[in-house]
Amino acid sequence: MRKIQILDYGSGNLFSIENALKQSDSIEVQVSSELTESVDGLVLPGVGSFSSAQKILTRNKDRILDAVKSRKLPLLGICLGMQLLFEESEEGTGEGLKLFKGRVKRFSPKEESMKIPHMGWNTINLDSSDSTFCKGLRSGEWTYYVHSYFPVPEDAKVVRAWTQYGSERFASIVESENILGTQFHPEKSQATGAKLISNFVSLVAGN
Amino acid sequence: MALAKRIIPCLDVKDGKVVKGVNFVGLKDAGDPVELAKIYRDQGADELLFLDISASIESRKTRVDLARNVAKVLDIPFTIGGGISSVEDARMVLSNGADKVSVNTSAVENPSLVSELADVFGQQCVVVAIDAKRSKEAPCGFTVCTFGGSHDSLVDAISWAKEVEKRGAGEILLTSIDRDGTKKGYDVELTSLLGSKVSLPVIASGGCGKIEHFLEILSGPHAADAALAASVFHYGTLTVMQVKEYLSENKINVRI
Repeated sequence: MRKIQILDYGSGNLFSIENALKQSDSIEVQVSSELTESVDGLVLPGVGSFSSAQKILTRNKDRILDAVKSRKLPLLGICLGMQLLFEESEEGTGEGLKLFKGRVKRFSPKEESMKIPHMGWNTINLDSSDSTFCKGLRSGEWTYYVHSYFPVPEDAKVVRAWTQYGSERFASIVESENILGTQFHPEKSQATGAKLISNFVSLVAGN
Repeated sequence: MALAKRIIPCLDVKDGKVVKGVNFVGLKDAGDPVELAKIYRDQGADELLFLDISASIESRKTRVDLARNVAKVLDIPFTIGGGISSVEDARMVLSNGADKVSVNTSAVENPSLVSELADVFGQQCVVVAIDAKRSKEAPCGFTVCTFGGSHDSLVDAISWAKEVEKRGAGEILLTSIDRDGTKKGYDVELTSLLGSKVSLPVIASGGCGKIEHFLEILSGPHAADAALAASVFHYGTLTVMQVKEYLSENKINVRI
């Protein structure tokens, strides 16, 4: 049976993403703070603080990069986990995985009604019809967000969906071959999130 | 579209059962938390809040069971509050499926708890509940109450809100003690005052009795970002979907 690992940063709710992945009978799910060589898919979850995540990430960085590049390990980054796929962040001094070019920046409210964090339900606007990850999704579907930072990809071709918050339009889904990311929480986004998770599981299962 | 205004049913839980107090006293049984969670999810609730009001030493275990049982069935976010007074208390519920924790009395007594929680779990997990009531003693006109509204801490509500924002809170759950249980409507004055002073999302709570109250608190300048209600939902006066359809007809952006 194919295995998906959730990288454990040591803080926060991993139960929900684990529960969401387990809806599929075709995979096993394991949670660990060390990347296991034998896994077929990896999830960088969207919970925990930036510093705790970065500590664990740094320890696993070489192994993750090697697996993602040489054996095309499917990788899904959620929220903070998606931001870690980029080069660097305004939130901390360390480096990300640099799998995508671009920086992670903080929302800078230009109007008073724009609260930080961006918290709650917002809609996605799909940018590409040719996406394995977004199969079955439509523009206008609702997804759940909690974040103060967002990545700005240098290469717009990796962006699969955009989301508008106040005066800011940011990339909410990115995809490049086996590397996937969502700024929202698919595990908390009901049917829309379940479709994305199922598409990721299909990629891992190789069908 | 843009960020939607949220409707959040609140379930007061005592020893694993849902109860609702009027002005925090006179409790009446209203059901099983997991069953109610499913009902509200199906009605279109955007999030749920579970407030654990048990005082027994067993409460840590019942909170963990609650988190786990609810997380198994729920694919929307939920918060657990009540009795969380340390990083360890928070870890127990977060690692068992809760998305956020809400702190109130323990944070007023020990403000560094807010910073610690934000450092360990991230800002997104930390909701600070502020129970405020009118007071001539406070510069802003409202003081912060603790212990379920029974004790006046004499802390100024606005200075406290600013402090928790600085310490890394992700959201403020603002309950009007003057309005709670009255069904006279949310405290617009309190909510817009606080909303104008902090840039965190604000959930308004206390006083909701009819559908128009949701519209009143979610529109206008410094409106709340979310509205929390209990009795109107628990006793079937309104469903979450009725509220959202009504708000949508009145040009409020909601998730339908």
